[in-house]
Amino acid sequence: MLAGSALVLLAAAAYMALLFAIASFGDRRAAAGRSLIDSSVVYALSLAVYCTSWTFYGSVGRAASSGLDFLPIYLGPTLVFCLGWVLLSRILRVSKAHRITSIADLLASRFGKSGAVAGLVTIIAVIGSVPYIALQLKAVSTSLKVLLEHQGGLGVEAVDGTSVLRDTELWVAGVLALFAILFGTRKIDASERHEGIVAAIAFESIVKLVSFVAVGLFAGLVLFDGFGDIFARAAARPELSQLFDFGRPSASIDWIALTFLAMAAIVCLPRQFQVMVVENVDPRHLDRALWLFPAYLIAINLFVVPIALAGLLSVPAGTDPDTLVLALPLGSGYGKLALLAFLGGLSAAASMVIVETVALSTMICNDLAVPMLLRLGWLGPDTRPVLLGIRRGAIALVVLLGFAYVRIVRESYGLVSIGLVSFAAVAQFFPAIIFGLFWRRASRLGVLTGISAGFLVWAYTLLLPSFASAGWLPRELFEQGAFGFSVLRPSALFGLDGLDPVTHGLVWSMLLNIAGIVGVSLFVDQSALERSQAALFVDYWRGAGHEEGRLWRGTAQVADLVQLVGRFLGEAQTREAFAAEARGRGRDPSALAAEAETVRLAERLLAGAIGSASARVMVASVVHEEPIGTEELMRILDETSQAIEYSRRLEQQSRTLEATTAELRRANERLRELDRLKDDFVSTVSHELRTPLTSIRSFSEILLDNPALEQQQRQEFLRIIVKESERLTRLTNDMLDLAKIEAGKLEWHMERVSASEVAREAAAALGQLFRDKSVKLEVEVPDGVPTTIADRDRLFQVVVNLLSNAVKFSPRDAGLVTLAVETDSDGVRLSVADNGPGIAPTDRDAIFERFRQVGDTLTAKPEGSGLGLAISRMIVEHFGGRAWVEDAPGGGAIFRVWLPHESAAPSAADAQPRPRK
Amino acid sequence: MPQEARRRDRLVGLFALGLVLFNPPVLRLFAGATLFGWPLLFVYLFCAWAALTAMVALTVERRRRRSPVEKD
Repeated sequence: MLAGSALVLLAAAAYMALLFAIASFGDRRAAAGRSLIDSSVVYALSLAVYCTSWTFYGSVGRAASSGLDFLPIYLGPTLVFCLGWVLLSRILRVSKAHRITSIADLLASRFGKSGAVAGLVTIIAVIGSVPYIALQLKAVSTSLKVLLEHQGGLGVEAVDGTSVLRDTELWVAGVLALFAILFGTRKIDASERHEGIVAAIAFESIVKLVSFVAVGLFAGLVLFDGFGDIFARAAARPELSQLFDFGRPSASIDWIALTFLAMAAIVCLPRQFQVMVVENVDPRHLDRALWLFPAYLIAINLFVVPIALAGLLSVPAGTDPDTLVLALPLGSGYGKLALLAFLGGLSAAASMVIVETVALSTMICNDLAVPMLLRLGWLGPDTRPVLLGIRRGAIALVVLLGFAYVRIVRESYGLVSIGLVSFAAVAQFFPAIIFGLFWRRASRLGVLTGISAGFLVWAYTLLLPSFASAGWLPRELFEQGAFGFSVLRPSALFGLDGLDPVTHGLVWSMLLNIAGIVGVSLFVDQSALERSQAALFVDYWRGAGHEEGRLWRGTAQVADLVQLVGRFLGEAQTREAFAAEARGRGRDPSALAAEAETVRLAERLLAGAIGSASARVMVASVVHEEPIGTEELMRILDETSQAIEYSRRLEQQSRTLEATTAELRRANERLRELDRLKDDFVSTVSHELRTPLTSIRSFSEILLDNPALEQQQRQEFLRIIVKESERLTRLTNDMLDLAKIEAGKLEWHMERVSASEVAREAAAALGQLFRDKSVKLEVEVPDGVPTTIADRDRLFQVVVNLLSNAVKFSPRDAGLVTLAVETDSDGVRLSVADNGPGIAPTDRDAIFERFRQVGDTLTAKPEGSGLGLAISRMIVEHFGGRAWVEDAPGGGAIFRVWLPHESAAPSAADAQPRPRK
Repeated sequence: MPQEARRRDRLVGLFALGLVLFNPPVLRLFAGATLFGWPLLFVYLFCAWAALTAMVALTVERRRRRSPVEKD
């Protein structure tokens, strides 16, 4: 019969062997170019490295003691993933563009490729992560212990397991470190991706989910009569039902603080950054992970509360709540299930330790060791073995630190408390990342200040108390405050009392952190490099990435660059990268010049291997960079403003074009209107001509057909024919005049003319007409009216037109027409008033148009051609005057003509007689 | 890409919704009560969580279906 401890250890060993196999298979597939992890599902599963043994065992423990308080740790990431396209994909793409390989590298690169920032972040990350790694080791050994203590449940013979247990943590630490070293530091590569590890992590995520869900279903369906049964029985016990009433005084603020802490952690934890950014194969995988990862979190948390309640209900009091996941199946004799649960917890712990140590080793190597070696000048020609050695050492060191921590602080803190303290440490990077990505002015000095301040407060309020409780530091510090000042008590700094220690530490550290970043950034100027890096990160979406080369000028030899990069990446790989770059730019690889882009390429390649800060120092050693002078900056500025000017001009031109188009459209409409008017005119003229012609023709035919017609009648008919012929002649003359005036072909005999004289002559000439119609004509023409420049005959024609028009509309026998001439300051006004029906205001313009006769033309036979007024107005306007119509004082209409004085005549050219043709 | 931008805004809207859904004053509304014997707060939290995730999935996946070849 197999010993219980042997069975457990065998299972654990077999499981680890399986992990090694998967990882090595993943690496082989990657080398063959058929990636195992090029899928959004695998990506989401690898993100689930977030769920460590802390989730697996600790959540149940926390739920057993304080209800739903464990949930904010998973709600926070869900919220952050809602911001996936705003925040995460931005980090992802920026990091890909700059070959960023760790969170320290990201912050260093953003804040002017600062080695100080990189170093500080690395130190904090290591200090913050060690307790967390310790937590994993402790969880594995604790779970193993529980399993062995309950050997009866495994159905095997009990043996004394303490000898095995004593060294469990060391063994676990050793195996995990070996795994991380084997698959995490295989080679130095510009991309720092480890496909084998990711494949193993994804597999472990499945194992931990399946085993946890199995325990949950077992608790609900086997141990109890459904989940409702668990809740019902729990409700019967007051100490359990109060877990759901959200009753603690600081429950709200703790909830918010934990949510915030988790939001920061999912972005800032070194291992999360490793799987989310560095190991990402394709940024598009993030899209599906935005909901797959939260869905995973829901699934793994769904059974936490039922397991906790079931445990509290069925396991004897005094059991460590952090081990309920194991104790539950063990206590009821389901040893195999307990073994599965143990493997789930082992997966959770293993994946965390592996990824975290790999991420930390990259940071320690690139951001602490390499800068130090550079300063000391200890880097040989081929640095790869050195770098690999440093990384392997770093992994071993971190795991060893975790092991040491577990030995020292053993038992004093619950799993969740250690985890939260760790979260609070890395959360110190969160403000720097947010400000760094969205606020261009966030500066290196501000970030150094903020992170240092936040970290110191964290150490004082959260780390020291854990040491104090372990007996490392005097307990008085914790109880009375430093130097005996009670305001400095670590758990109630400045008297802020009544909060959970983690909330308390988070509030103070974040306050100082953010204040440091914002305050210092507002008052300290950035260097040129910081400014250009800030622009690259903050304005990434605007395509600022393509402008990188413009703000650089210097001299370098390509051979130097190749040799330099080759020292870190290997000669062949480097030459290939440079050749690919040359091909990408359409150049011959041998003709690649050491211009800005080439230097950037070298720096990018190096950044992938040793981090951006170190890469910058290395490249600077072979490149003589010239600072960009004011002139150069002005030139760049100039080009920009020129582009702005061009676009402004372009806009202006397009506006002008629009205006021209509108004008053309209007002109076109006017042309159509004129065309229509011409057609109207032709048809009207034809009509006007046909009327007299018809009557002439019909009377002529009567005369021709009836030779025996009476003499008197014959005379009458002939008179009509003559009259109609005259009308026809008049009409034709008028039309000829009109056409001539319009075409500008009329001959004008311009001379000095007295309007009074012309008026008197016209009155005299029409005297007979007035007498015939019994219309009285009054002439009020004074002497001494100034002369005007006009064509006498045409002016005469105008007056005659107006008078005959007036007589036409005056009532027979009672008609009275007044012809008057007056002078005003700059001209002569000639008016003809009648006492006829008058003209409606709406028609006053129309009557000056051709063939427009006011009144009902159907019943009243029109007299005159209908062209008189149109011709008159044209003539008057030719003389520089105006013609219009008004209401006469005693009813009727008054037509007025105004002509300028001789001195005010329009222009010399018009006033001169035109040469006769 | 207005379509892209609209989806991105929708996700930010879901983030705001999440902030509201998981806020202590809202949670207090459900604390202490039960639904068919289940603690109401427990039921509410997981339902809200699942609904939020489902809405994220709908937003993200619709985009995927419409444009299988993404350019950015």
